[in-house]
Amino acid sequence: MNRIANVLVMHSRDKFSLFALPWTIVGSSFVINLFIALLLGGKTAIYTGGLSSIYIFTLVAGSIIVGGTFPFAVGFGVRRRDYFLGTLTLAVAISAAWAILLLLLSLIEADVIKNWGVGLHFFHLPYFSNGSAVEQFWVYFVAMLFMFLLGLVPGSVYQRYRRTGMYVLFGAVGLVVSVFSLVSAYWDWWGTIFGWFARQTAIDLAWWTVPLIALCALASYTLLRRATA
Amino acid sequence: MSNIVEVRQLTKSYGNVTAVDQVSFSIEAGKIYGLLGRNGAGKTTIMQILTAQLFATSGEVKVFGERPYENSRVLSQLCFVKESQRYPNGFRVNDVLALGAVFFPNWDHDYALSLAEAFRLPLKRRMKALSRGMLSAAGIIVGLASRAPLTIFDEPYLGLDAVARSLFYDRLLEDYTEYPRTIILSTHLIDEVSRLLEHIIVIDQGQVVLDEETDTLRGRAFTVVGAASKVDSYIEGKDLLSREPLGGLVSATVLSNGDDGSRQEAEALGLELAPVSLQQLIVHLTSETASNVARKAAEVR
Amino acid sequence: MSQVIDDSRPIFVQIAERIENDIIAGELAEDAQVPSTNQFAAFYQINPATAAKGVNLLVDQGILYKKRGLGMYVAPGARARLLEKRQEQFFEQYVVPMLHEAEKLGISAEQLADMIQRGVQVR
Repeated sequence: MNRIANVLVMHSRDKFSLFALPWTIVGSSFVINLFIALLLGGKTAIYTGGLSSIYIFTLVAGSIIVGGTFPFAVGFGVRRRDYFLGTLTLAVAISAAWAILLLLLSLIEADVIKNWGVGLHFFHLPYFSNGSAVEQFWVYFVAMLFMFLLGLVPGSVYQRYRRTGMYVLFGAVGLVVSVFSLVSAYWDWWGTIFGWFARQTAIDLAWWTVPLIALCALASYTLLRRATA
Repeated sequence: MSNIVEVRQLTKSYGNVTAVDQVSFSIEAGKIYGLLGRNGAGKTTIMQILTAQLFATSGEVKVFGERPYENSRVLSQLCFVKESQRYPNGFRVNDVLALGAVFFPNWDHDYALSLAEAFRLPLKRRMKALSRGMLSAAGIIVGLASRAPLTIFDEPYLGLDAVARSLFYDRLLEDYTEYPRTIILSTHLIDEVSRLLEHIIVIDQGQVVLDEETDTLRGRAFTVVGAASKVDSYIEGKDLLSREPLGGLVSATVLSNGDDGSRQEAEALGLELAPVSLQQLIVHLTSETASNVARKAAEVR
Repeated sequence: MSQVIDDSRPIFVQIAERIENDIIAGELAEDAQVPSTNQFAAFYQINPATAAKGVNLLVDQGILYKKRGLGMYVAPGARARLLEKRQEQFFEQYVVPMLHEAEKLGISAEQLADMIQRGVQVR
């Protein structure tokens, strides 16, 4: 347990990138949107996807964290297993912390300062924020964790197989997507697929994402076990 | 004395390139070892396998009696200072030292800080902004302050000026004396470092060509100069390291078995004797082509 | 900073020789303390084990003795013994080579004796 905590200490040395930067980004987006809403007189309701910035950021952060810290950790005698578990713990902790903050901001937007007084829907969005506080937290948390771990996969592929691995990974993904699209178009699956998605609430989708998260974690660990610094 | 490191038939290949070829050696506890050889000889590869950063293709590696891979009992007693150590973006020198305290159980932070002062390493400077010499100094500080029972330095002096290098030797000896541990130093700068080394292992083209106590090795090699016929008959049946003709004369370097017999024989023949430094000896040993390496390795043992 | 150590001969022998030279020159008197192994190591920037080997060589030869917990000291009669040893070595180290060189240059035994006389008078 101590060893995993040590990895967390290592990760949190870079407080700026991990803590300040994501909120600076989403904060700037929020301020800009707020300003626009103000300019428009606050009469029209504005729905913006600016919140996605923090999720994209987390995806990117997940993808570069391995390259940045794995060689250092292994060079300082950290076991690969401890590195992975420590990074996973970081992902869970950050996702939970951000989810709580997002929940608070969502509740403030919805109930306390109705749409920030200018009709801005930034943190409390339809579909995404439907549900009780607990349900909202769950959706925000799972989405964030998924972004982080999804980013971890290409990061781990690169660490293990370098450039060749990246080509293979993106080639394979491209191939699978193309084949799936063609097949779906041919067999006319799109209707069924969209229909199914339409029936899912954000909370349902969050539950479906959990096995995906587990898959990403497993893939990342398997790759890192034999990766070199 | 128990063996801290046991390497048996270690091989590492990349495709059809063999970087390390059936290497076997042992490292005894508490001594300063030199792992010498030319660039690309395989020294770094061996050290990376010892510290579980690379994986062997075949062969056995035991450190502190166990396999190092994913083994915290072994890894916590190791410190590997390599010149290619990467640091996370944005890390400053004091971040690295702080993490040294986190990851190395025997870390002495006051000592690390005093070393940083001695090497004039600015604590607030980002690692990315350090010169090559300062980067090396940082590595050296981590290696010394870790007080790890097995500390490995891989070419730790890149970019260090002569004063800083001398400082390193001083501090290394001082701390080794006060806190005895096993140290492996790899270098191609043999001259300066050789007197720190108690035992030398020379690697050439992925093979061990020499594995001996340093002082036993000193003085075993010498050069004879004289008429071609005399020299050629003298070197018959001896370990020949080099032979250079100069007009009617021949200069040949031989490796004797340590006693004075060979020298006296040369003197009796009227040949001129010249000393050969350890550096020269190793240069001779490692300038051979691949086909001669195995022969040399067999002869010297 | 390191002093001059010859890289082509065993270092422990050179350490022993330096101590011997100091004893012969009178810099280290009988029962005087000799610098510790670690001091030698630090001064010459050499491995402590090598320094120890050199010191132990002299202990084995009875030139130095060890006082438990205090260090190494010059043994009584060490200087006399060293002088005897060096005088024996003098023949091999200086006289024999001189004779060889003289032979090469065609200097006869009488000429050699004359030269030695000349040298003694000049001093």
